[in-house]
Amino acid sequence: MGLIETYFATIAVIFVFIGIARGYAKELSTTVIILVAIFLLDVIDSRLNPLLLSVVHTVFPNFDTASPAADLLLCSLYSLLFISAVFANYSGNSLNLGGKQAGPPVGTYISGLVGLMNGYFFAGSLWFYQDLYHYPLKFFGQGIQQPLSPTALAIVELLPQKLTANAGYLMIPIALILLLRARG
Amino acid sequence: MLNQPESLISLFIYFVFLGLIGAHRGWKKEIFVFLAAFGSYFGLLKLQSRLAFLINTGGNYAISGFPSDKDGLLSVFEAPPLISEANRETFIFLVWAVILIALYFVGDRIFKKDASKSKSLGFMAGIANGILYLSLIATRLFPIFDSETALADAPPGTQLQEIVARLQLFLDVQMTVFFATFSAEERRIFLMFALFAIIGIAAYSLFGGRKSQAQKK
Repeated sequence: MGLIETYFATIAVIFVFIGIARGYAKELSTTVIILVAIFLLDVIDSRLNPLLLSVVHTVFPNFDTASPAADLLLCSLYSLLFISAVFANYSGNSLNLGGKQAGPPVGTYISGLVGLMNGYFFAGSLWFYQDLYHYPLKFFGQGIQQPLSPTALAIVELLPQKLTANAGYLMIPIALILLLRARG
Repeated sequence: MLNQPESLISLFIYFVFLGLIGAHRGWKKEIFVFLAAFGSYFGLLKLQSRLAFLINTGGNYAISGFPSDKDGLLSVFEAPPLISEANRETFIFLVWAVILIALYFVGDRIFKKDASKSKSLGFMAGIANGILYLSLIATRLFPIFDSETALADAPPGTQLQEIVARLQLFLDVQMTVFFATFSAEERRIFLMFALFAIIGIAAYSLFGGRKSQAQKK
């Protein structure tokens, strides 16, 4: 495994532990928030990018909108927005879906699985923005080891934003949760 | 290599660990898991060709769209098998692993509050399970750690690093095999199915069955 897979796999594993500690009743609400955040950012980025870059170019006339600096700016912006949305759910008043969690050991396994899924969504989304903006951390001379390994290249095709042709499909799991919530 | 005292100590730790788990869980649950796991493994080995035939025929019948005409039925039997001779052992082991995990849950349901009865019997039953796992599971872990340089001979303090490196290599090989086996579209469908399954199971477990606490209020 290359460096980038190890980075993001580590993040996903940390989410497994968080999931087990918090329980899947709370983690499922985080799933909803993460999916909504992915959906919203996917909807706005193509519309916001030209506007944002033209504003920056107006303020800083020397700013090249096709430079790695522009990639870094956009990548940082979307990553920060995404991290903020997820962090707000963890630290603030998270969505209360209610319901009764299964006891251990079944409940613990489900919590671990939901944590792993959230880890995939979270780490996968951060990786997606790195990939979309051509791994801009190389701007600092650090960055991700290039070229990516064959495994990493295959994983890139499975990132959350690339899983469905349209980000609208990500609303299906939320609909499933809400339907079961209404039935419960 | 068999005269190394460290191996004896390691084996002792392994059996004590499994024995303590057995003492904590109770002897009935442990014996149940032992007998059922042992029996199911040999049952699967005995029935593997019939099981593979059923799955191959049933699977190809479903894939062909449940044909009822002669040509359609012939094509079912002529289609390449889903479980070939080459991957039959993997399939049998996978089925057994699922049964083994399920046995722990089934045992917990059947033998409730059994742990306090006899700690020593539970300890011994745990060791019996340890021997079973040693023969069926531990032997399959050897290829991961088997290489020209023996782990035990690695300089002190570097063994953990070596283990992590070998696990990483093993996972990388497994991932490469996984990606080579399935097309990009199949991998995407597989992942989506897994995500939907996790969300479905978690949501159903929270809100399904009896009325949830939130609804009762």
